[in-house]
Amino acid sequence: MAESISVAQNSHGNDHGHDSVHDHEHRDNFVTKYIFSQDHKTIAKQFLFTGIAMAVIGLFMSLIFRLQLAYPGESMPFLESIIGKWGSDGILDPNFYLALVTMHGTIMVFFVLTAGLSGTFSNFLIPLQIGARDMASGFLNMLSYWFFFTSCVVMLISLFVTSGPAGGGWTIYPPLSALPQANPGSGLGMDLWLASMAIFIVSSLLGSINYIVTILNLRTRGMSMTRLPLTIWAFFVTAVLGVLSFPVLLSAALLLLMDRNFGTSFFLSDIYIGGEALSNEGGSPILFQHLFWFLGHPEVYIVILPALGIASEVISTMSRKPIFGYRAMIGSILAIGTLSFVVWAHHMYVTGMNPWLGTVFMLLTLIIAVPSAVKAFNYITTLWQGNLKFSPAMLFSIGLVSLFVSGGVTGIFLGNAAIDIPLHDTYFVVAHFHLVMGSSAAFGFFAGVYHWFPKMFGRMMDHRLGVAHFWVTFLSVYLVFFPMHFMGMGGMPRRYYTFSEFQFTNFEIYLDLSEFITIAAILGVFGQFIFLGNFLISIFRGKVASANPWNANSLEWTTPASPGHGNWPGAIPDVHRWPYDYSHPGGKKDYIPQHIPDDDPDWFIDVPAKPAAPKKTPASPTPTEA
Amino acid sequence: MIIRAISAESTKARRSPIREARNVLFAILSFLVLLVVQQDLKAADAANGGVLFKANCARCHSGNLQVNSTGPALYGIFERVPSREWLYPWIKNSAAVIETGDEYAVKVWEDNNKSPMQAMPHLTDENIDDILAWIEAWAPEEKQETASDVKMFGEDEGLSSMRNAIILLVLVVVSLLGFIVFQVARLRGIDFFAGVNWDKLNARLFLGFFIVGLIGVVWSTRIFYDYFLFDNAASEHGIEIDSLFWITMAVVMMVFVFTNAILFFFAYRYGKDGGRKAKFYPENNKLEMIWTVVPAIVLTILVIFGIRTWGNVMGTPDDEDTLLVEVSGEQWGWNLRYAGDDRKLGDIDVRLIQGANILGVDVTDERTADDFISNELVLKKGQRVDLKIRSRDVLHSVYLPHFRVKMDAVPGMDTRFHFVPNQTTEEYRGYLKSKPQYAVVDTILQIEKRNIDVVNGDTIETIENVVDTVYHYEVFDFELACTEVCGRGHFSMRKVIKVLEPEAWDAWYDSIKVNNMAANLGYVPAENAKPDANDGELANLVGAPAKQSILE
Repeated sequence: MAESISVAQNSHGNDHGHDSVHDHEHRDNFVTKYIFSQDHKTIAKQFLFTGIAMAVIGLFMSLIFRLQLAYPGESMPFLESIIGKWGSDGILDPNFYLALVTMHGTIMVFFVLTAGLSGTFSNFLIPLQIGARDMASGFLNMLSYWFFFTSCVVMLISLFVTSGPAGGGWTIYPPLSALPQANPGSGLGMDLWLASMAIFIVSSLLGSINYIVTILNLRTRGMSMTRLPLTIWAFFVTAVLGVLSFPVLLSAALLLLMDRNFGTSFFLSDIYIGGEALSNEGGSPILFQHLFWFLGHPEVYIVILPALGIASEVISTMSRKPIFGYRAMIGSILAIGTLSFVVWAHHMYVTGMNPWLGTVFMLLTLIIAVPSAVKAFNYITTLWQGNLKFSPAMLFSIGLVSLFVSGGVTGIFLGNAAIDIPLHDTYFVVAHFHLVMGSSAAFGFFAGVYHWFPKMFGRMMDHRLGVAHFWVTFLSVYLVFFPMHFMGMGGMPRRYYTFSEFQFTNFEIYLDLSEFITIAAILGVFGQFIFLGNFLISIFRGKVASANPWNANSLEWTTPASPGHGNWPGAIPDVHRWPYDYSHPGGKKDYIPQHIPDDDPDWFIDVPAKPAAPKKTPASPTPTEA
Repeated sequence: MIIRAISAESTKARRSPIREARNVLFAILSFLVLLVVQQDLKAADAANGGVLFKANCARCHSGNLQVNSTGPALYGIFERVPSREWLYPWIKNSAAVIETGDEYAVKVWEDNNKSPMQAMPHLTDENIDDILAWIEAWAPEEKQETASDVKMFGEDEGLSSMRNAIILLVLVVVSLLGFIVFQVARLRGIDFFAGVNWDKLNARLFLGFFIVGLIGVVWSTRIFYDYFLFDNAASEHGIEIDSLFWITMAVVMMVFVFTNAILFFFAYRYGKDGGRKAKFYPENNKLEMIWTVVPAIVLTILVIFGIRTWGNVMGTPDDEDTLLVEVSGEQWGWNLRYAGDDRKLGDIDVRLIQGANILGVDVTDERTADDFISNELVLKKGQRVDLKIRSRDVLHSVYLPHFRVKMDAVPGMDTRFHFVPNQTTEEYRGYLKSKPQYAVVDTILQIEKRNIDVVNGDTIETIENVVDTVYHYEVFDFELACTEVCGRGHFSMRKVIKVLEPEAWDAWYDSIKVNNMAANLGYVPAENAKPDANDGELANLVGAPAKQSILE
């Protein structure tokens, strides 16, 4: 199948007869069509469903530890029925509290916002938006999903081992994560965590390589790099970041596995624990942190860039305006991608790293705020004098920009090493990254689902439920995470089971605030059921969608309402323009799809009906009409 | 609060006032008096024990003795342990007891994830007596008599929070019902939202969200303002960090409000009425330049400030008079070792940890002899303190919120943080007096005052109840906390920090320095050390090259 696709790819546009082969090529049985499918759209949906399932698990974990923070020491007997021995007498075990925090972070960052977001939309949109029949390698793509699925299963299995899942925080810093004596979560649970992450990285690498190759090689005729939708640029840079940074985490994970199981001392030195001095000598826990954050920081851009790409596409389409500063947007994606590799040590200002390094990383970290600011202002300028259509996707995209700004500006505090001294590892950090990375990326995910749902399932999601979902979510995100800044500015450390042990944190108002946040979080989780219901019901019962329900320009909307295998029943369209010709002064309608040539009298006002010689369209978004 | 409870108990033993039977009852009376006196004595002990418990034990053992925390619940401990005497060596150094192979000790150790209780070598037998007395006196249904009209610090509001949970549940149920009603109505063809202009509604909601949100930000900031740390730092460099914080805050708030304002305003302005013609406005290089260059300049200025402050904080100090203190983290507590008169800390090696040598100090190192361990970090106002930070098991982080100090404790690598405390604990308490959260009553002490008067040859005794009110700021202490996740007891790694005036500090220092390593562990000068098989190995271990300091 892969060969026939690539043949079709090479010969598209001049061999309609060959392309139509795809219509009657279905030799698929249930297994090859829905389970071990090599079709990028099916794989995207598999990522989507798995990602949503993991998100539900991660959200509920957060609810359990939020309840502990709101009502510390109060017996909640239902806990015992949910988590068994970890909640005996209705009191959450402090070890399991840490395990929940760890697993919530791991699941959300990697399984939901990396694989769930990138996996879904890179797979779904790359071939459709660049004009390809499928990914460069459908087989690798299938492997990528099944490695991801396996890693999910392994991670979930670790929830059920006797000593509990990993509990050293999602950053799994050794020696805590290396020594089972130090923490029950560093037993079998940690080995499973590392195994799961290794499998996950394989999945991510297979996916990323495929995305890069597909974007570079399989673009349809006329689709130059400067005519790519910004989603594709975002997915492309994301994939490059993944390919370059995930292997470093893999090596760190392998070294940690060896420290744990084979007596090496990469990260261990001078340790006395459980009543004995260990023989490990000469290792450095700081080395692990460098390795971890060399992935860890690009990782946050791996999470946020696809969301920003989706927002670019949705905001432009729904404002009926070109995205403002297309090339500046590409430039800022590239700048963010590049800089993301040289800012990792800003997570380590107070780890005992040489303070001179701190000054370098401070400089580089604050520089990265510049391209981020460019993106935010470009989004806002795109709204200016637009004709806004508040589809749920548009609502979530505007919400994303707001969260990205509100969460991003607090990075200016944290990126500054001197101010980071009192704020490091406090709730201020929790507030910062949940707004700028967690919630923003989740909003990008929702925007993507609402926007491309018609292309995925051939039906529309309910608009009103989408609006309700947005407002409940937007409100609860701000109510949950904004007050956390106050806790951080009061000095409250993160990952604390309770705050009653210290005078400076033991104030009634913080308990009240914790309770407030928990209630807002419950509200937010409740709001996600609106989405879940809407999503599941609309798959079967939603209004049937037209091929291009948003009047959008990019190529995926030229396919049928529910594209089959090979995406286009006929030839793949050629591309004649950039994807953001909305409200073009020379156009008859307020959009001109990418495949429309400049001399098409159906789309342009002042085009003579005579067939003109094909001319080269400038890549730059110059209006054709003076 | 602890004291109050016990004194309340003692009032039960009040004498009978029947005067006619005075002579008859004299014997009984004196017995009762004796009882009261005894109880009072015991109460004093137990009260002191309560304080000691809070300072030493509470980080692992819950103050509610029936609740398991990091350490096991201590209620009924006397029925469990082999003997009361057994507890003394155990509390002082449990690891040493475990090493002897004591059956019960090993069992306790195994029951608690094989993590031994933190050693408390600084506690005297009398201290332990007091703590045990307090534990003995503790009762589960502790009735606390408080003046109900006084707002008490930390009064339990558990019931009201459960009430809120119930309200929330009701809300959830109501909205679910509403949703069902709505759906049923929809199936029957009734549409509540038929006339709604969704674009207009969303546009207005965006504007409303911004306005209400902004009011909410201002309102909540006012509430929490008194709780912010970034005011009156207790260290010299902290003041610099605070001013940088507020400069950044000014910039950030402007960006935050302005950017969100135009975002939501545009959403409102261009979304409220559909069908307008959008402006084809793909790019403007001048605008792009503005929002590239302006943030770049602002950030550069902040970076310059930041680098300067960071350099001041992290740079090598040039003070001549520096107090060297080692803070070593372990699961889950801190040990503080002062360098003593020679201002040098003796070498340390985890392989030497054994018995009373809980830190693994090298007793053959001459610098060790005058080192001493303190239970509290006591600092001299105005004197630079150089914290040498280490850990013996996993990562911890030394966090002194009021001093704007934070530095990880890394096993195998010493880290440093130096700072100058600029005010005493007393002075800081005076500052806190103006904060509403500290100007509340912390404890009401009911003290029984016994007056004995001799009138006409008769001894008349009266007992007077004196109420002493202690405000929360009066018991405030600087604290040391852990900010790097380190396992189960991460949330409870507390140490008290005291800053004293120079004279008071000198007095404290002179009183504590006699209890030094030489006194506790014995000092074996290296040249006199008996040569044995381990000697060569030991010499290699001392000053092992794995250690590095960030300041060297």
